[in-house]
Amino acid sequence: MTSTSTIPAVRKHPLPDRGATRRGARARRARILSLGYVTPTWILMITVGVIPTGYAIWMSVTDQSLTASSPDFVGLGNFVASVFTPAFLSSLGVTALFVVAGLLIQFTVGYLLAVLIHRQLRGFRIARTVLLVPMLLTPVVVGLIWQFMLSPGLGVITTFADLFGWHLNVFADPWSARLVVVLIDSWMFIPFVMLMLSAGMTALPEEPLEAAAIDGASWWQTTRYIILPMLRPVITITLLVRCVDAVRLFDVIFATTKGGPGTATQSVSMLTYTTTFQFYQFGYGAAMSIAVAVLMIPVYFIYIRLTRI
Amino acid sequence: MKRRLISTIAVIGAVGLALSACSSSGGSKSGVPQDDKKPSSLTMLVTASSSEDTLKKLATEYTAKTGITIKFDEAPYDQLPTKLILAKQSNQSTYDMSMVDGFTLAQITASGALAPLDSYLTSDKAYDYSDFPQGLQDYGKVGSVSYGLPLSTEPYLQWYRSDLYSQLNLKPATTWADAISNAKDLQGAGYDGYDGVYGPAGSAHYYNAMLASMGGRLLDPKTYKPLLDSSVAKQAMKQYLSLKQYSPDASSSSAGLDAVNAFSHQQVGQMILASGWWGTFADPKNSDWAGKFATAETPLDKVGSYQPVSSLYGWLASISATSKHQKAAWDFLSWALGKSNAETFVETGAPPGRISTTSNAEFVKELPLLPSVADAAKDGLAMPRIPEMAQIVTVLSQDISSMASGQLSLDDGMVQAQNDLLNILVQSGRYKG
Repeated sequence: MTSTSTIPAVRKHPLPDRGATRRGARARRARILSLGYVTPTWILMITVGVIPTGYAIWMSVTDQSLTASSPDFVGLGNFVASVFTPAFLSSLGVTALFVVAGLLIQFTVGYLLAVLIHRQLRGFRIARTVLLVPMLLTPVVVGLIWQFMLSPGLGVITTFADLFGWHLNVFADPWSARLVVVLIDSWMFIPFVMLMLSAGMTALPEEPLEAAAIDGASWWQTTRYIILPMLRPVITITLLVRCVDAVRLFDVIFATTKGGPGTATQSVSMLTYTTTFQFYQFGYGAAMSIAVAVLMIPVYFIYIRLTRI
Repeated sequence: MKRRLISTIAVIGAVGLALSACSSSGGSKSGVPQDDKKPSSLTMLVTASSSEDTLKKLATEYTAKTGITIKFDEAPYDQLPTKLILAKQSNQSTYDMSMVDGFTLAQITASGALAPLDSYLTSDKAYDYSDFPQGLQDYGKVGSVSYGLPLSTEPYLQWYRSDLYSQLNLKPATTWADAISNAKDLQGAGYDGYDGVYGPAGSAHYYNAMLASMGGRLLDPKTYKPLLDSSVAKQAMKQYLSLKQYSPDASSSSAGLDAVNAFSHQQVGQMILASGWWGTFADPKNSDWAGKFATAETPLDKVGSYQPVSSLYGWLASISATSKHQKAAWDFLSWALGKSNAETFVETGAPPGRISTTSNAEFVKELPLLPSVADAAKDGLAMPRIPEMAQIVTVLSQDISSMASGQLSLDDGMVQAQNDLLNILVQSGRYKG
């Protein structure tokens, strides 16, 4: 008998590699664990983000109102009836004015204050703390306080102005009312801009500034060609955050002018509030909110790109 | 793959369920089962007013008598309708009763938030509904259904500073020409001649009072066609805006409460305002001129084609449709607003306009404006009972504010106001065009 060596046939069902099985089980456990970690976040996002947004989109295509029994689907009817209207476009113009004027004032004053803080002059810590106070106050309270101070015949500012023969009635004129809203909003949020820019300045490298000083660059040249370009990311994000806030501006208007005189200070938020919570036309209100969100998409894209989210 | 598919379906299902839960929660129409047992407490939604003060006084007495505690949930005026409607939409028995401003009644009842009261009114003889003039009974109705009991009856009246009028030898105005003449004289003597309301929140009520007193109407009573293109509407607006020159500077942006504050603390000679503020002006804690003011009928001019009348406002007391204790709520309201408590309401200055109250000589002595309340209760003009009124008041107030601040001329403003009202009423299907 001759023995022949044969190559064992490949088993159809190889014995399990115990190491691999353990690794697989571990990987499965890790996956379940990681799912467990992210689940609360997903639930939170779906609960406070996806569902309300989806609900708002659904409402915007129905004629839902709190006083109607059952809403009907109206397609884009709400957008036609409430968004492409003179009232909405006018409020959009008012909002744009508040955004542009507010950002200009807040950036200019905020930057100058940040420079002063950054120089760490004597007493800068106290000054910084005091300057931050307006930002910590509730907007409605700030609005009411300013409204009292500027009230003709009663307010401290108007009474003081009267002493100099300057008869102030800021809420009676459309432009002065708009200016007041912008100034109050700026008074509250200049500290935020100052804080952000001041933090950005602290992180700037010293070398380019020293080189500019040695080359005899003026304050303006240093600012224009060195500081501002280096601060660009901080400035952009600061202004974007303020831009989004300014578009939502509501509390100050509600507390001071109620959108008046006429509709001179009626922002989009104010109009949406009135439509939704005074007239109970939820469909129209939702359509307005969606329209504003769509208009704000470019701003969000820039923000996301800059913050690398 | 299969597992992913199942997960996806599960997520979509969960989201769908959540969405349907959200949407269905807003539309429940189920009647609330009534709890016939005696409740330990009842909750009433109220806002700061003389009526609230009086109800609180009476509630203590009611608790001592029945053992039922009446809780009061106070909300800002603007939020009353929202709170009631939301309670209904979410089917919550948060409130058993509520104060309701007459002109918002139709808006609130459109959501089904209030219980009809007709069966109680018919069966409860002690409440004696026939003691109210027909005009006042209609004030609490939407269509032919009663939803509100008269809580305060507040016609617009002419208020004036009796000390200044004596000093300047002026008489209360009977026509608007008199009112303007008085305003001139008061201003000439260094006072504010008038106290108008020209801000974007609520000025429409004051314009409407002037319009009604000149024989005009905001809307056609039958078709709901806006009537701001009529000559009387324009004339009333011209007159209303002309009084701004005699008003305090703050009136440019003022609401009703600002006008009340101005009359209480500044040197303002006259104004048109609801009678319910008597208690505020008569209280030295709230007013610098307590005892130095008086009231008279709103000046009337026959200019338009309708009967010139005073405007009728006032609070109603309603029962929430979601209350589990509607009978107990009725028992409290019926007792509190009954004849036996009329004196308590008279003391605070804003009683319900019962005939037995306004014709009581002792009460009239205590509250001299009661005859005016009696007249207005009979033929005073209430805002139309349609759900669109809140929107009409807001939009018209904005238009008035635009005209008062010079953003719109009188002609352009009236055209815009007419178009705004037309849009609202056509859009809602109320006016067919």
